[in-house]
Amino acid sequence: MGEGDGDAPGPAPGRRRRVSSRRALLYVVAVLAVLNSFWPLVVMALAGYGIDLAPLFSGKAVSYVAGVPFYSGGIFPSPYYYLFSIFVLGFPRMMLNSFVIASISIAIAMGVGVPVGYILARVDIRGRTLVAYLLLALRAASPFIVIVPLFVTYSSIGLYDTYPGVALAEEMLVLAVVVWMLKGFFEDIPREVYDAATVFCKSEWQVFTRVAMRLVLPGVVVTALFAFVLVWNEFLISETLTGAATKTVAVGVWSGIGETTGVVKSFGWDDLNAAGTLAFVPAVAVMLAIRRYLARGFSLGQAR
Amino acid sequence: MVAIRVEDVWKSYGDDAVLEGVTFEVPDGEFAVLLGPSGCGKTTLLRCIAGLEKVRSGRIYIGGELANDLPPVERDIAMVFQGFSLFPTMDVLENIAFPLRIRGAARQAADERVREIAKTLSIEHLLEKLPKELSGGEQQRVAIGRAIARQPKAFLMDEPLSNLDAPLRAQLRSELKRIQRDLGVTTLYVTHDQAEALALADKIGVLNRGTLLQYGPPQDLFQAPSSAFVARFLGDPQANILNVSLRSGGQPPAYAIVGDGFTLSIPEALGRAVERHAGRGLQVSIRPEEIALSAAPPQGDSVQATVALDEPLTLYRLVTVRPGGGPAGIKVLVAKDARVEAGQGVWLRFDSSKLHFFDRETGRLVV
Repeated sequence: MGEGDGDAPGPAPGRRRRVSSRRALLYVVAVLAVLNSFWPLVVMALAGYGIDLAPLFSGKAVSYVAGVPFYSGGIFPSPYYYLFSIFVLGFPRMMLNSFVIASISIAIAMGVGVPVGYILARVDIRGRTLVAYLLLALRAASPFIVIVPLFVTYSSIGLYDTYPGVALAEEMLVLAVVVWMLKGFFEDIPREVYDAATVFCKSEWQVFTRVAMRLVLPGVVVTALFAFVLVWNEFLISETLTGAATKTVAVGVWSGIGETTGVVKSFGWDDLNAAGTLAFVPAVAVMLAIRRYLARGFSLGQAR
Repeated sequence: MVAIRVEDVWKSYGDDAVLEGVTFEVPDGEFAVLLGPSGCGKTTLLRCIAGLEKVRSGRIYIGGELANDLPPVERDIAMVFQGFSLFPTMDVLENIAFPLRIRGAARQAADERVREIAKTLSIEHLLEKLPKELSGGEQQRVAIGRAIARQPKAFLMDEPLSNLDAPLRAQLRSELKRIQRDLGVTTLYVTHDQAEALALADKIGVLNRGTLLQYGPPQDLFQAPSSAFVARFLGDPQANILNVSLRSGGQPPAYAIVGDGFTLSIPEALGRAVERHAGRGLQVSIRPEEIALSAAPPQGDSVQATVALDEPLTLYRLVTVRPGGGPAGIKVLVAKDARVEAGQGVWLRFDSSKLHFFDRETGRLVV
């Protein structure tokens, strides 16, 4: 109860207090929102060091993960699990697998996607809208629909557990995204630039290579790296089509690392979290690397 | 030799006819301007000639060759656009050199040529800059330079000056005319600005709703408009277009036109010519500079009017008068130092040979 409540000559202090409390509320909400997004990452990264946050909340050293009692040993920070993942469980090999598979599939997807995106954006052919939406429909379909036929046929044609086989399957998954992103970048080039190119170039091919490609180069880089991250993190296809030779990190993390693990070991949450953190790092690194291009790429239209 | 010839060209988007049987030709080396309000089809026509769009029917000849099915590059034309059409990732030098390099010119030869062109356009100091670092006027100079580098049979220009502010527009307009004269390249230029058209053109074509209303030398269109639309569109200030009817009587018949608040007798020959159309509604056009205004009753036939508005322009004053005190306004151009004030009674004299009669419904010329 403020003393100036009744004959308030200055409602200012009251309003000011209300504004600042509203602002405090805003901060609380913001922090909660950030925590909501990053909580899994925080828990994962810390657990990889053997830091179990569960006792902090439950007060017990034993936590129940999906009904199974799990003793983490409390809080004993140590890089052991990271080193264990790297040196014992063959983690570098899985990183390499992921890298090779993602690279091959992105190379194919870009090789197909750049010309297709250009054609869909620019060349007036009958049925181009149909093609664009068919691609989108492919993307909308559940990956399971794709996986079963692939699993069945891959084994018999010798593509199961091979780099080209897995890469090809991943490429099918990202192609729609790649084409639609590139189509957008090509459409962002002003019409008069296309007109000028058409008037001055000797062929449509030159319009594409000498003018359009140079303009969308940042967009091409963004698309490739974005697709790279998608494939890097992809789980379902990799889980089904890779074996011991080509297992990717996304699969490795989930299976409790490596083929050597037994039933008990598969609940080695600390290893798993350390591995998860390691798998996560390259994806984040790529996103950070392209963030300048992301802004540039997504604003091509205004890049006058 | 005829550089550009357009024969009975039709074009439509879906059910909307955009061009309805347009026919005209631009002789070699001439500067022709297509003039019309926005949406009249002038830009579409230019794009059809460039090959950026296909016509529904009709023929387009460039340099005597039927161009209908030729892709833009084989039409041997260069185009300057209204908006931003430079290649954003290339600097000015690369932009101007583009048409040369793409045809396999060696870098050094191309660079030399670019420097020559840049000199005539006074943009030598900009060669290393990117388009986004240039002002609108500089960008258009570069676009013109790029068109020159192409060494085409014809220039096509789509409102190249309309995004610039007035002083720059006037300056670049003069330069454009000089360059066109120097190079002697056939030019077809599209604009909605009648002053620009009059300043640049050897021939003007006025387009409205997909129809070419009149095509010829500017003075012809100015002095003998074929329709009320052309009469109104050309000239600044605009021509007066007045609804009138014809009155005749007596022996031999004396003719007069009757408008809102005025009656004006006209010569017998003119009256007879107009009479054939007298049943239908008539419009008459008279330019503001072709009406004589005096403060005292003049000799001969005149119309009495009251001054309603006086607008001083730079060289003249534009006076709006109401004949017979009626509501109709007639604009008259008077000398800068003339003593005219609102409310004053004045007398107008018309030179009947400067009057043009149009059918009120079709807008076509009657006499």
